[in-house]
Amino acid sequence: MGNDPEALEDRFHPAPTWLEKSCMAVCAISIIAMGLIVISEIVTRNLFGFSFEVSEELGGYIIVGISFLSLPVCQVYRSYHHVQFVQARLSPRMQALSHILFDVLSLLFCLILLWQLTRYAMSSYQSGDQAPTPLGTPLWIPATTMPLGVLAASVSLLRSLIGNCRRFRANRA
Amino acid sequence: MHLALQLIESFGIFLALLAAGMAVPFAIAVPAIIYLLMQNGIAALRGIGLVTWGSMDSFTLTAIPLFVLMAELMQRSGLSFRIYRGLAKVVARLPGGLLQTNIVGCALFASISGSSVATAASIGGVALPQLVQRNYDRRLSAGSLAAGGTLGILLPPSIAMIIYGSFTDTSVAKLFMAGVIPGGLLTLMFMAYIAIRAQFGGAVPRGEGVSGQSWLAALTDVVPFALLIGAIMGSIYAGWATPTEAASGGCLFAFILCLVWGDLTWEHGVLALQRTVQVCGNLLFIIYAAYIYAYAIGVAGVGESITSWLVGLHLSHLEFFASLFVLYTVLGCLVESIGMIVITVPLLYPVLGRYGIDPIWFGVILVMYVELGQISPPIGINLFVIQSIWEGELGDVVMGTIPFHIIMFVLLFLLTAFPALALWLPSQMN
Repeated sequence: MGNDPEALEDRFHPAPTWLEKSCMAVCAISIIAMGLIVISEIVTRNLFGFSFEVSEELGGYIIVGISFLSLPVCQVYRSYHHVQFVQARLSPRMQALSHILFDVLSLLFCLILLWQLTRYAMSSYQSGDQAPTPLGTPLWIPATTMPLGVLAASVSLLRSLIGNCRRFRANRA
Repeated sequence: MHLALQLIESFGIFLALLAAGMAVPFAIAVPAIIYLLMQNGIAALRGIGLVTWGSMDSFTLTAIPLFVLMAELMQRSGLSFRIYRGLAKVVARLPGGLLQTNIVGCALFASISGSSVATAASIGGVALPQLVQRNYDRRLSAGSLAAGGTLGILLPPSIAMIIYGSFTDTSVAKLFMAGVIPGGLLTLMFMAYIAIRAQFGGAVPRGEGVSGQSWLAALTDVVPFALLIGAIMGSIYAGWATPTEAASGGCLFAFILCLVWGDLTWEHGVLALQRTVQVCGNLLFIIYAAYIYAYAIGVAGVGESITSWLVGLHLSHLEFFASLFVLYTVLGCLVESIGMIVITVPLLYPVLGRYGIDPIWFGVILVMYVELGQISPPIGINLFVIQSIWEGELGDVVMGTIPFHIIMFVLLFLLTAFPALALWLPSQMN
């Protein structure tokens, strides 16, 4: 098991572009922001005896954002875990073929997700849903990170699929 | 049973995709969508948006990126090397020498990282070159690091326990405390085994003398981490902080430690953040995929059927535990560790109440099974982490872990016979 299948040749795997790098930067900044928000909550509660009462709400939104905006990052940086004991026994051509199948299935899943999450964010916007908290955040704002992340992941998956098709063709010769 | 057959089919697809080499989160998510479509066609997909928001908008999960970042900072700034160097002298008198350092180092790093892989990689990366250089028993060296790494998810903070807590609405703070005594006990049992092996000689030394001055100097390498662990665990135990707050405070403390004691540069900090995003992206996607799977099971109504069926079997406690033992031992060899938790907990959790099983205790037992899975061939991830650092034979790593497997089974038996080992400390919490 591992997260960097050595069997795949790197020249076919998509390199990180501005899309993945931007998502990575947003996620990294979000993690720092989350830590700072929680620490400020600890400080104000213990030293000054009051709470902004926002850390739970914002922490939840940030986790939603990281969960989806990290999808293209994990795809291109090969961060997902794979079980390799079958892959290691396949020929390069069969490896490429299996990865085409995986990419197609993953892309179909992402497209279904994109459809449903866009519907959810739009219905949240149309109904004017707000968080029942002091911030009263319009919920479509954090909810929009879900379809945006899945859209970015679909683009990365498509690039990965194209790379695997090239790998398959290269191994046919 | 028609619904149950569909569930078995979708689980079969999951295992097939996983074994074939598909990315783990997609291998969970794709059969979940297929299962949903089998239930109610396109209409069943309409709940996905709400399920997504409801499951991932979770404050409990916020502790994960912070604990991962804390471990990454320590690893990138070379502090894991410093822990190991200090411990090597502190425990040098014990029979087993550096092998004892492996176990104590893993336990210590586990107490700040929350992850088995991070623990095995951090301590293994530092330890293996020294063990090879000094001609230690190769199998035992690799086995002690692979098995020691598993302490990362039993000793708090544990990412596996955070995930279990988020699926079952169980107190993560209590779960953390429930892991302390079993984790400490397992550490001592591993150390005792190495000490016994050392008595038989071979390539396992009986320990070496260290001057008092050198021993005290080595303590300065270890004390800061002991303080960090004490601050994290103490604040949770005393009820002063939630696990997320303890993780945030721990991150800040670790950052200061890395600046003062380690070699934390801008590049190291950026690398730590990038790696944190990747690790968390993978973990959070696995959790999300499992929530979709759980939603599909809910739509089918098969969860209730399985609960009724299991309860209808009228198993005794012992039979139920024996069934769990068989189930998780087999699954541990087939399914990725976190995947094992997220796939089985939604199905088994409703049954626990009917059998009078404490969910905190079950969480500890489940984590023990996950630990076993992480060193079980063919997919035990710690085996591969150690092999990749060591560049040795996977077979040697596997053989080296077998005695540690047996020790873990003994602890499982003790936990089953004496649940208070896990439940006493949470019962004392504020």
